[in-house]
Amino acid sequence: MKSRRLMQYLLGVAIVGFFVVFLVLPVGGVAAVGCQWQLMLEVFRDPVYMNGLFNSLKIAVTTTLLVGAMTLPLALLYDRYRFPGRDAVNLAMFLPMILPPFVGALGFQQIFGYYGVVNAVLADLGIARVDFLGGSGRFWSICVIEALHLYPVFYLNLVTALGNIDPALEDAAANSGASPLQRFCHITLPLLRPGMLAGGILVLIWSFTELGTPLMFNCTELTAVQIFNGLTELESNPVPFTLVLVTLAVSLALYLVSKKLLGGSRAVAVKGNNVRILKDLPGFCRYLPTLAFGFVTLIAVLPHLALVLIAFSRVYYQSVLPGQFTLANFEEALSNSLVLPSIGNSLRYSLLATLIAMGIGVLAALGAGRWQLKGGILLDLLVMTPLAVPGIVVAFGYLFMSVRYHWASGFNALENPFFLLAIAYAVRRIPFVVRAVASGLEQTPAELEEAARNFGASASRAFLRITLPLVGANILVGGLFAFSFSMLEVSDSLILAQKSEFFPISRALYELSQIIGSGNAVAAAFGVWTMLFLAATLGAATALLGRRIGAVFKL
Amino acid sequence: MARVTIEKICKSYGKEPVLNDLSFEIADGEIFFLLGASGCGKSTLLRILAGLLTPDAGHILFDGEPIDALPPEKRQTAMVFQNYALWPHMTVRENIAFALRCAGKKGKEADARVCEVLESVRLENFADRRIPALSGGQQQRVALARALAVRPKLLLLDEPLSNLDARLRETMRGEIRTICRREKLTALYVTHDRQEAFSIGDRIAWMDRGVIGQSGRPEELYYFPESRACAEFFGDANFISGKVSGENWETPFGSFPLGGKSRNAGCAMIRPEMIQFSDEKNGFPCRVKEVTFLGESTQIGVETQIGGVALTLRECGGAPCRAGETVYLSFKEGQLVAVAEKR
Repeated sequence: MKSRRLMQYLLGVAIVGFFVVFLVLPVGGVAAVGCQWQLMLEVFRDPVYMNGLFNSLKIAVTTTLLVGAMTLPLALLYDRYRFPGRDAVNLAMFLPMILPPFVGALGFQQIFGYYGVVNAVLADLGIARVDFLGGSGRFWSICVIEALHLYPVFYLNLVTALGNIDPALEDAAANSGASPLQRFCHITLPLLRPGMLAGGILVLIWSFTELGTPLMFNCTELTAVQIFNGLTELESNPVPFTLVLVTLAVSLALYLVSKKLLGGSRAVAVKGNNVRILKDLPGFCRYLPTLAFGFVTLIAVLPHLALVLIAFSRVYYQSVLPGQFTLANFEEALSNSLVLPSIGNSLRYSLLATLIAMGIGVLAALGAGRWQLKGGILLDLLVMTPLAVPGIVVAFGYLFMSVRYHWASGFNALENPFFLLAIAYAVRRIPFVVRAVASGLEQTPAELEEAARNFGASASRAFLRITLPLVGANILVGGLFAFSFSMLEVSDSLILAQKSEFFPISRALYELSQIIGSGNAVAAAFGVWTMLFLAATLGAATALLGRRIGAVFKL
Repeated sequence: MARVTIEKICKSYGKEPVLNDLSFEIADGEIFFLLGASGCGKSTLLRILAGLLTPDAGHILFDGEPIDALPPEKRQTAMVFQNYALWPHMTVRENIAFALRCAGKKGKEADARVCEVLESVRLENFADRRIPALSGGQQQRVALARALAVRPKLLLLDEPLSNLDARLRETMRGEIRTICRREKLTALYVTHDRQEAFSIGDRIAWMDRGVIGQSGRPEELYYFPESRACAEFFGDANFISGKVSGENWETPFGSFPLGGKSRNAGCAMIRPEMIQFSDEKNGFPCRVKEVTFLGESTQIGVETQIGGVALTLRECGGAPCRAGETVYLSFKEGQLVAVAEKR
């Protein structure tokens, strides 16, 4: 028993070691370089940087509010009412997750661009063209695209949190004379706060540090883009180090402020034994929830529908539909020298990342939960930290690490970023695996494993025969998410993959979209291939876990 | 089957001691009950015996052989968990067969044993059902069958009937007793339900704050508790202050012979059903304060005319008196016992 315990602690220490080497040291190193008075003053005095920071914050807050406004009514409808196609429209809420915002921006530009679909309709009607994407239109475009990509994260948290509220609590309030609005404001909303916090922080930090979408809109007045653009002149201008430090500090501040505002803790147990009985809406009203879900999903997939049209178009200019259709873009996408190698690269990086994330994620979930290691809470906190550390910070940290630390010089990203990219993908996906596995473990009493040991099964046999089959689906889902998010990853990919032979999919997409002429159409065709691939992956995940999938997105 | 010795077991959670120098022995083939209020350390002891917890000090011996160093899988104990801990991804048959396979039994021998135990708990028609498709009572019987299948040296039962309704609980009590007798099992049964202990147990130990307060046959603990706390735990009781005088207990309303062994007393105790109606010559006068019909019996609250001591008695059937009447009562011989005020 003692040797087993020792092994558990050794594994715990190994996980901590991994995070120290691949998170604390690189990020801390960058922060240490960036933490110089002169550089700080330069950043805070320069209106360009301050404007970038202000814009990033504005985008983050606006995106989060948009996401909240979109999803709260839908989550409530799903939780309380029976309506036609309820399961199907709920499943459709996952769609944006396979629609990379990065390439979605191409579709969005096709719809709202000066020579795009909407303006084509306006021109047909004899109305003057509107520059939707110019001025503040660009800001709103970025917010909307990010909101349309991130709302499933928030929605899933809300649905899970609503499912955990014992309906008897609201019944008791109704019984005490509370009106529906009073019940919502005083019972439902306060109990929803942990779920809102979990989803909201993810959306807030994600959109604060998003790099891909602003790049596609050529929006340079954002901190993430300023860091990216500063990479090329790092030798002469160390300001990006300070910008990384500021991004990290603001992300942590956003986390703390949200926690303070929304409060609540996961320890609040609200689940009772009562099951909510779904209500039926009268007459035609029963179709209203279906229409609401359908509308949101349609808006979410619209840019990507446009993307599909671009992919099939020979000419798509100043018209609602493409002038001519063709399959050439798909062929050209596959024959482009960047594309096939990038698929192979992404697969290699993502598979290794998934294996690392699953291995460490499962051990961390066991260590912090099932094994009850001393310091388990700190371990849990450490493995969840990457959620609060923007991808751009991690990627920048790795570049810095490979240059600065002698022992890490073998990881030089410029030479071959394979290992660093896989680790970068893995580190930022470990939290998803941990939450998925921890949720499975919470639903699998330790007694089941103890019973097996009591009947003569060794510790490893009990784990393999009892616990593993019961949490297997959770591990698989965590792994699938780690894999699909790695395949879509933008920040790490853009920063760490510098040579074309090592480009992953997202970097290849970016490069293709920059080619003048047919670049957008070929990039769109490549984007369609990617979406089909990810649709298959996430479809499998959803079928495996259903509603429990929401647990993956809890902080 | 085995003779089980628990020797000076100590266990603390943090600074909170849960088991405090606990020692007792369970005879071969005996059904031994551990009773006590929630949090008194019963389940902790059970988990220590199963090897799922390590004690801070002390030893466990099976037939005189220490088993402290053995991991859970080598101890040959089988536990019926409070929540059954049935593996939900296996059928009833697979649950039992997996336990047998872990115990080294395979093939036809294992198949035959699965059928045998399922028959003994009357679940032979449910062998291929999945666990979530069973009722609470059926799950409880599967848990019992799984534990019985491996013919353990020590059967451990952790409040196995606590999730069942009253009627099913009563049926299962009888079944557990019959099966344990037939299989000649040594069993340690943990519960806080005294009815369960009285109806199944050969011997009972009453636990209080991590130590054994008193142990003995069910009747001994019920009629002759050594402390006030033990008496209160096992049922309603009348406590009468006074003092020991030789073999008698002196009270304001008379001197009564003491039963039991304890003479180091803070007060005397008698169960309500051990107080009987008497006559003027042999009884002491009381005024009836309250008569409550309980169904199978009637509870009568009285106050002695001398000293004003409140007593409660229970009569089968209807009440022979009404509130306000004067009645004469006496104690059944040897049923008034001296008990310590503290444990």
